Amino acid sequence: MKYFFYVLIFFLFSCTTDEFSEEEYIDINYEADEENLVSDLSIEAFTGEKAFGRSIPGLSNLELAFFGVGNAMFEQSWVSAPATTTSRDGLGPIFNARACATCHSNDGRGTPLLENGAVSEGFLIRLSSGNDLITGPIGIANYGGQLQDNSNLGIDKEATINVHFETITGSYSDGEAYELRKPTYTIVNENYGSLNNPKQSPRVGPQVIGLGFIDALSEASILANEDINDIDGDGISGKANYVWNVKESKSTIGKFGWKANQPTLEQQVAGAFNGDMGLTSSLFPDENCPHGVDCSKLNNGNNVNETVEVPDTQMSRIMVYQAAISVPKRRDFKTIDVLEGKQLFNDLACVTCHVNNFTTGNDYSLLTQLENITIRPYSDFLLHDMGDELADNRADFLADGNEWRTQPLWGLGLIEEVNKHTFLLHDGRARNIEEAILWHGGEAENAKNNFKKLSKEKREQLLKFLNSL
Amino acid sequence: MKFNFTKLSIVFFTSIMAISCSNNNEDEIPTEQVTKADFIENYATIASTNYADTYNTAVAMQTKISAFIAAPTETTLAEARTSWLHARDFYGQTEAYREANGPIDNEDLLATEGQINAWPLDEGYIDYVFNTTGGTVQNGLIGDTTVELTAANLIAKNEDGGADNIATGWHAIEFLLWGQDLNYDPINHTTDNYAVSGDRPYTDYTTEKFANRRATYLQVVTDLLINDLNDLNNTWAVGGAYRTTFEALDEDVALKNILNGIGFISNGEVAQERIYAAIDEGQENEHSCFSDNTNQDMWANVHGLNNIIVGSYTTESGAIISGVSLIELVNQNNATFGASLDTKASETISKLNTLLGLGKNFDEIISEENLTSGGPANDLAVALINQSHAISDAAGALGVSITVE
Repeated sequence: MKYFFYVLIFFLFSCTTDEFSEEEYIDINYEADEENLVSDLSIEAFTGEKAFGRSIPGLSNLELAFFGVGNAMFEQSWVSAPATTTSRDGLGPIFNARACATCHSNDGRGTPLLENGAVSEGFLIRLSSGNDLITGPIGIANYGGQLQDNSNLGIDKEATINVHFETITGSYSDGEAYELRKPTYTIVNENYGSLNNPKQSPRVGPQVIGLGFIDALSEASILANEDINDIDGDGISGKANYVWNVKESKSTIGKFGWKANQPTLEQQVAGAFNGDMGLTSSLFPDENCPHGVDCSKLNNGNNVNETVEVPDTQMSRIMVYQAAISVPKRRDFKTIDVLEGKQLFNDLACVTCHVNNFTTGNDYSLLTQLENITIRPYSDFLLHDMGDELADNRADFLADGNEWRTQPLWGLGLIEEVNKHTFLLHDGRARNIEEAILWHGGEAENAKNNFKKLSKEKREQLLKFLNSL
Repeated sequence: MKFNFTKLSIVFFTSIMAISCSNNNEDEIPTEQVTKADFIENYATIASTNYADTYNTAVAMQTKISAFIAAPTETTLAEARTSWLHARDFYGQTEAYREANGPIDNEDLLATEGQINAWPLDEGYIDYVFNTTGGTVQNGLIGDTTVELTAANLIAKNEDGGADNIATGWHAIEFLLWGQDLNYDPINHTTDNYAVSGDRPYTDYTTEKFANRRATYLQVVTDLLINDLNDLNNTWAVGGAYRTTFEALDEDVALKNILNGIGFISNGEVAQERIYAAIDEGQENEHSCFSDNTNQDMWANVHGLNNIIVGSYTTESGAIISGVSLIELVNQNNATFGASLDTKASETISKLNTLLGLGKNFDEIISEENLTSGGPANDLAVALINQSHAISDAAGALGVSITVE
């Protein structure tokens, strides 16, 4: 028995580490501090549903209080106006969610629409009839740019969304079969006129960790990875989206959203307040009003002496909250499987788009602690053609229907802890990381095909690495 | 750590004796060691007694509310309100058992917290509300005669498009008994008279529009609350489903759950979400905003946490049950952290008493503070945060790691 054990050990290491001992292998392949995805501002990885949503260390007492107030705003449901709770009223008249936390449960990921009619938490559909390169997608008459499938009492919601999944089968080179589910969405019960096949794009709310660090990235640091015409000939381009920056009244680089269609964290948050919850702010002061309804006759949630439902002070609190949410440290980073997986991640060129080396800019006044920090987001925040299978065929500023922003992979392995599911990609169609890889096409076609050629052991090592993030 | 009721009683009484000994001889080093199991057991006893009190006082409230609905008068309304306030004290203490992977908010178990205590309440979704010009708007379910007011329908309405329950639970009942708190000063015509609470007239249930539907709504949400509290009581009772699960947990897992719960409720929930947000965002960002009972909510929340820290609970009948406290257990492992927890817990009670001693409503207190001004509400929040750090240190001393936000 003992003999067998030694043979087994020898066999295991001979495949993975050749002549090195386990310790030697780890020493050679582990890069100092690689587990700290946002350097010293990383936080310990807790298990359980509170793994996300924790602040960077070292906030002042007042910043911590702002963080707490912002956290409350993020968690609590907004209600229809007028209400006694003056700081939480103004929801609707049409909306997708009552709280930020509906779509980003525990600061994590939303649950996609499922075929069995189970309630989705954090799924929506963007609509458009066309696209303007400067001002962005052109909304649909009577419906605007997003389908609100919920409403206050007495107001009709815009419509209901259904989904149907078709099974796609495939197999790895070693013969192991897999199945993917391809969704088709239908919009039914339109209450404001027929929609007539609009351009539509389904979305699931992503986890909201590390957003301040992305917000703090300079344009130059993102543009450094751009290769629009694939000059280096590696088959991977990478293009920055330029989008309308409301505050600056000009186009600036897009960083946030599935198509990089929001320029700043503030505009992303204010946009979500407005589009997802029907709340006005100084960036988006106009009520999202259903067609044919005179919203000036409805009660809004403006307080005395205020003209919007989320005044600047409230907005500033949630900004501190969002910007200060840290990224958990990686787990199991000093194991052979994870280190082998890391090597595969490089060898398969995943790292070309899922870039792991940035330094934040030096002018982030919202939270100066986030300046000049080395981060490993595993994203280049650029647009890439991801192939026809994943396409939504809906243009969004400079992004065409096949292009998506590379998703940051930090926190990937903790989504299951936080949200008790592993649905991934823009509409949650992938049921786990493996399926998400298999959906990659276009510029990632080669990387995916090389993944499919790996042995099962290697594939699992790559997944272990991804789960360590 | 399975045990039966007889054994439980023995441990329970020896615990009382152990405490009375140590209290009487503070300078002596206790010879008898307390164990994690003793502390966990005491927690279970306190939790189940607290849930039983909550259920029983809520049933008494249900009786008063039914009497009010049957014969609405000033008197029956006042009695219904008093019964709500009394029952609320016991529920408020049970919030210390939240975020502990227990039945109240574990998605795989009952997870009825949202339905029981959701806040803020969508008042306009339920009944008429006052608009800014002094009139009222009737846009709630009570005024929508196309909706049949049944428990199933209200639950379904709440979950329409998301699981945020906003029209049921303690605060729905509170709203239907008190109505909105407008802070209205009829002499100066201003809205800064914090001494007044909501003052819904009993005629809302006799001559006003939708009186019958309002009564139905009140009955339905009261019955629903009773059902939910009954489930919690049963599952925590000796031999109950969760009590059995809890008693079978690995000691360190149970300890971690308990401490995670009180650490989080002390800091993230009460200090930050309830006190800081209220101070920063305005006078009606307080939980029992209709009845102006938020001070008393603070009393209940703080004492719920303290019950576990000091290992004792005062029942509705006035009896005191006690056993191994968190302080004792920590003291044995790390006297410094034990002493710190003791100090921080005492400071929290002291700051609570200062706040209550002002004799002002919570909305008035927070209207005089901001996040940098200090003041009694700020002080209580800081004490709760410090207490949570002491709980976190205590956890470390006991060999478990917890998250306090």
